[in-house]
Amino acid sequence: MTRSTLLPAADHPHVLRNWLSYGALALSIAFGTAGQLLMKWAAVGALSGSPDFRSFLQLGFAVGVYCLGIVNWIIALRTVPLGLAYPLTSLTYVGVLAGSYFLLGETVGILRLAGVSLIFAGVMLVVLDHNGSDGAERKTEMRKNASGGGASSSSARTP
Amino acid sequence: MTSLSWIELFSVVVLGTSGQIALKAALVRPKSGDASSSGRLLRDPLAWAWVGSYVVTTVLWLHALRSAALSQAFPILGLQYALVPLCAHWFLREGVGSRRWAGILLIFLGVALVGQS
Repeated sequence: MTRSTLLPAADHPHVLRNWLSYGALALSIAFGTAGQLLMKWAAVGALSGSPDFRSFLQLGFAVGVYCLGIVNWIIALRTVPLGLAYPLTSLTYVGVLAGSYFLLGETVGILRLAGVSLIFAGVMLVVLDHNGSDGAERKTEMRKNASGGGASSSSARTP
Repeated sequence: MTSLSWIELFSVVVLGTSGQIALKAALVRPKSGDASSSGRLLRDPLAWAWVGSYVVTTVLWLHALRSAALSQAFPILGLQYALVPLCAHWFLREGVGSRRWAGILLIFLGVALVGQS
């Protein structure tokens, strides 16, 4: 009670909401990675042969894990701007590439590794630019707010 | 990878990008006073467009994965990381700086390499 009166009244709920949103973003990345590996496992096992109860369970489990990622994504997107949240999910590349190699036994050649590294570097540049171009971002927010939209004012904040 | 898998893969990229833009547009829609009302979101056709894109892309993706290696197909989905900021710039007026443009270019190059591998 005393603490909240010390903080600017409008800021307090926003700070808490931001933390919860970034936690949900981390969870959505973890479930997303596991979901991709499970879906490949299910697609090969369940969809190629003649389908039975076991293969439906495999597919359901894979899609279920993937959906947990989606639920957390919705929670995160309410506060985190899409232009920042979406590139951060690139961490999934590291997990999926490692999982494909170590768990699924796929061959990963030098060309593929180089390509994935370029994609990862590109995504990181996109993320870094979000902090670098804060001014441009804020200008966009102001334009949006000036044109009548106030709902997304907190989404201009970056960590 | 079969040519059907390639077609399915690029459909996933285009539909996935459209879905993300639709969801963000639904979430920042300025009309209502209560921004956190999930009832309002459930009645929003843009939010349902996102749900639909997720269902269709998941089915296409699962079908493509039967013949595609995950370590090749998944990085190609990375095209969305270039297309979403581009579309967010065009349709939602989000800012894109010079470093982000460079990142988008790198993603296109990387996807081209992975496609050859």
